[in-house]
Amino acid sequence: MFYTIRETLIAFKRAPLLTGLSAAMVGLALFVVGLFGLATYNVRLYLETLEERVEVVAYLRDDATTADIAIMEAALTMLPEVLGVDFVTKAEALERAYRDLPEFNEILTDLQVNPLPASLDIQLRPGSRNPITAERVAQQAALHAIVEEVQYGEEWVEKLFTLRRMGAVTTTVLGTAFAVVAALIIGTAVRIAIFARREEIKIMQLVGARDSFIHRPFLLEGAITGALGGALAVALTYTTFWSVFNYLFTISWIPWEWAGIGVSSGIVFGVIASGYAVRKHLREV
Amino acid sequence: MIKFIHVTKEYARPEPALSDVSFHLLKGQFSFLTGHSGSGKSTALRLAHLVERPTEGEVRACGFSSLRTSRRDVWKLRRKVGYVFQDFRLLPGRTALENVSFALEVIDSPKSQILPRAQRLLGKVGLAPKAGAVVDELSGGEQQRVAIARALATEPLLLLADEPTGNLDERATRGIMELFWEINALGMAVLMATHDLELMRKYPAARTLELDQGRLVYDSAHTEAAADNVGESDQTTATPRSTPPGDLGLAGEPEPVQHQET
Repeated sequence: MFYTIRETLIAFKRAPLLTGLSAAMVGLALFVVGLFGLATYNVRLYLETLEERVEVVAYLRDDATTADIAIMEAALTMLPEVLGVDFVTKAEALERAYRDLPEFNEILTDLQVNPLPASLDIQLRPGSRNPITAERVAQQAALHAIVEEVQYGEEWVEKLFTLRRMGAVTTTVLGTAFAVVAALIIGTAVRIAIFARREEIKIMQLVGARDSFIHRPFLLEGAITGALGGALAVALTYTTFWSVFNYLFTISWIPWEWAGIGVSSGIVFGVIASGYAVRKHLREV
Repeated sequence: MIKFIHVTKEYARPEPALSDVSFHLLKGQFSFLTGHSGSGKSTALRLAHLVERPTEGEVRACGFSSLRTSRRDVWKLRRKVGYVFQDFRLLPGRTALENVSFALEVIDSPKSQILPRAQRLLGKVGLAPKAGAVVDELSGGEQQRVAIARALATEPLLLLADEPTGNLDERATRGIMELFWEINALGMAVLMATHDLELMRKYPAARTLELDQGRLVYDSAHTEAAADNVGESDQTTATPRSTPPGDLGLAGEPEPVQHQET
């Protein structure tokens, strides 16, 4: 182990520029992935905010009794897709209309009777806020006799979910492409560094070193290069986030686990690339 | 020690690098492998070190067969067969001591023995005073001495040398040859590729194998009979010129050797 660490440090000390360039290449490759992650995360948060607005509203007949409403509320609450049910009285509905539609305030004031129906606002659980579930819950609600009409904004829910599906596909395709490109760049960077030391590998073989013995310092070197690159990528991504947050608009920082995954990916890619490159040179002698 | 049994080595080019070559190098024997450039000398040495495998035939070296030794196990052979190159192949930027220590470390020598043993090896090749010098600053002859010390680190039974004096001036060549001769006198077999006829004439006691266009055309030990008997002979040891093999005498001071130079 002492030999492995010492040889790794010697390699860094003897070729700091090459090591620095390798780590920088790894860092920049992962930075692109980091930026993509930052954008994806914030788009996802925004879509989730929109999704929270997906709810089913059951408008009630004016002659619905309190007992009927309670029975219906209890029945809906028991559905597994339903997070909660809020009863909105006619008066509360009017109050909302005053608040949400100020341009109609004058007309609303002139009315002799409150034309707005009471309703049950049904919130769906996360994961159930999709057109199919919303429609199923709406159908369940419509079965109750006290229900006048059920609405769940079919059109915009459909659009929202189309957007979400597109986002998921784009994220998967682009994310995979970025990850592959990053892996190739990291692989190339590490292989260049090892190519510069192929003579050393040959010498070690010719004096009788076992393959595993030759591998060790190079694997450690690959891991350290990957870790440095990963840390650089996190720093660059955070700087970008900080700049956007302070000078452009409010965005959220990615979960730190994602940053950890980024650094770990750098390490894993570095080790794999090193192992592969060393093995290739080992086969030459 | 080394046995080539009807060895043929082909590359992409039409003519084989080696063609049906057979010879048997005995324990403790000093042999020159000569021939023009491209005659197959380096190929033969690479085959003996299992850097490459024959296309046909079999190479046996120190108990390892090219037919039965897997790539994973080649390191075991390499610890019994030292290799010295024309271009030294030292680790640049490191001292002579570090280069020899490196070889000892690589073969898992006990940590406490690495430095003293490396120093002793450098002493053997006459480089003790320059142990701390970075190899890039040493002369060609001195670098070759470091390379020889490194090759001896594993206490090999056989030393392969590929034109070890090819890059050296006359004086350095003489010094290196003295060293090889001393090493051989301690019981280690030496197979040295060279095309320097002048050099070979100075060591008439050595066996000479000559290759021409990949074929073994002359063997001073057996001449024409050599190829026919190879693979059947049970004789494995040449008449020792000096101390018997073992620790190769490297642990202590060398015994004085009477050279048969002319």
